[in-house]
Amino acid sequence: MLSKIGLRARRSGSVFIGIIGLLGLAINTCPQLLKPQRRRIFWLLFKRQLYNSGLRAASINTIIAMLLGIFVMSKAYAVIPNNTQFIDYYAQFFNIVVNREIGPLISGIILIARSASAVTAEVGQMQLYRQFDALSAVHMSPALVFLLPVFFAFPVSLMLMFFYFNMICVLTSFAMIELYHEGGITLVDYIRALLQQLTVVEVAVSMAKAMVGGCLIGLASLYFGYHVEDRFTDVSRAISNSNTFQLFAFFVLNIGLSYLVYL
Amino acid sequence: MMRLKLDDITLQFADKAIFQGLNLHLKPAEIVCVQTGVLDGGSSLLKLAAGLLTPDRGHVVVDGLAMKDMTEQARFGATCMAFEAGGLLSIFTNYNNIAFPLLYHTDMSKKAIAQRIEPLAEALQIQSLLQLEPHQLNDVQTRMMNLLRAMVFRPKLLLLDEVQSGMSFEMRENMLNVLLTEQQSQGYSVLMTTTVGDRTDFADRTLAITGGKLEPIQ
Repeated sequence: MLSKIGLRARRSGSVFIGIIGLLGLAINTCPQLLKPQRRRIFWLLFKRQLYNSGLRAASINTIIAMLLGIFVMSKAYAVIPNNTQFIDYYAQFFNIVVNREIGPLISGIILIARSASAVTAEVGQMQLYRQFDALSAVHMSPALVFLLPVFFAFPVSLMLMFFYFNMICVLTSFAMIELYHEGGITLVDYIRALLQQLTVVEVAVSMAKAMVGGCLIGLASLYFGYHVEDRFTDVSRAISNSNTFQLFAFFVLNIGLSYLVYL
Repeated sequence: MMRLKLDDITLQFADKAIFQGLNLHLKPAEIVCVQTGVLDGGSSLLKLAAGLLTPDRGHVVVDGLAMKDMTEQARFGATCMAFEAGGLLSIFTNYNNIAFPLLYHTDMSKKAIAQRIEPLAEALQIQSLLQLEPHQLNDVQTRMMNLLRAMVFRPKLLLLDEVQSGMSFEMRENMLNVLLTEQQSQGYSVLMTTTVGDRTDFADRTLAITGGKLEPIQ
């Protein structure tokens, strides 16, 4: 039992060390972007990654944000009386539940489920079929072609997803207010009340969650993909391990940051 | 100056010795064919010359520069290997497998790259395959795409791994015709592995791997 715990701890430690190594490699490769040729190939691959991880997630993001907006405002009405003078409380409830906690968490889960597993599968498949040899044959750096686009696109995607998710949630929660209320609260009033609740610290924390969380998720997906060996089942195992690690790390990051700043 | 110098090369995988004291010198614009059998090290020979494998002993020198000391930019200008199988990244189209390395290593515009790729693809009769993905190609088409990429890069030394395998007579004649015309106009050297039934009559020299060394074929 104890030896199993020790083995798991060693494995988790080696994953963290590997991810820190990838972070170092990414930072070390950044100066290559000063060369115009490298920059134009990076830009092409970055746009491709951003499109796949950020923009193509818009539909699922919209559906979940709509449902959440409806749910949150229904719950708000369950605990706060239905009256125009309580608009600040509606906004506060929305801000605490959606903006601080559930919005970032669900956006991160969507990024892990859609894009991170796709990156792990792509890299794992390439590793399985020795396609990195093909990259060596044309003398291109795998760090610039695979690592940097993910390293930059994942945090940007997560930030876009936070923003987009919150926007949709605001609109659908307002739709619920319209449905319950007999007039009196306009969309402008509601947005003004929300903005009054929002502090610089909350914006900074959300950005930190997107930046650190996006990097962590992206680097972990590459790390697990790159560690695929010779068996076909290694790819599915890599995706499974990668998602488990990412979910754990992203939850810890979210809860940790919220705990440190808000409580 | 020799285009390629493989001096006293020893290569071993686990306990299997592939090359022992192998030597090969290629002059500029020289074409050398190496007849290979099963698992006798033909692909490994090309990978050594391309810098994709490091010998256990010996030196690989292209145009006076040791392969191990070259930057990736210098290697790009020095050699390009056309693989017998694979060699293309599955996440890009065939066209981008050729265009992206050029974007990466050179100042060429996308238009200039297209102007270099398309006529050669047309000459090799594989233009319609450019927008497909690698998994949509059969073995022969994959080898042709690898060959096209190597020719488009215009390195000093082309390394072609069993490029003639599996081709119909007409296809092979056309491919060799295009290759030899390009080779004469660009002046690159060619090291090509061949197998039973392949043509070698166009080569300046034909060698065979025997006992971990290269021997001339009379």
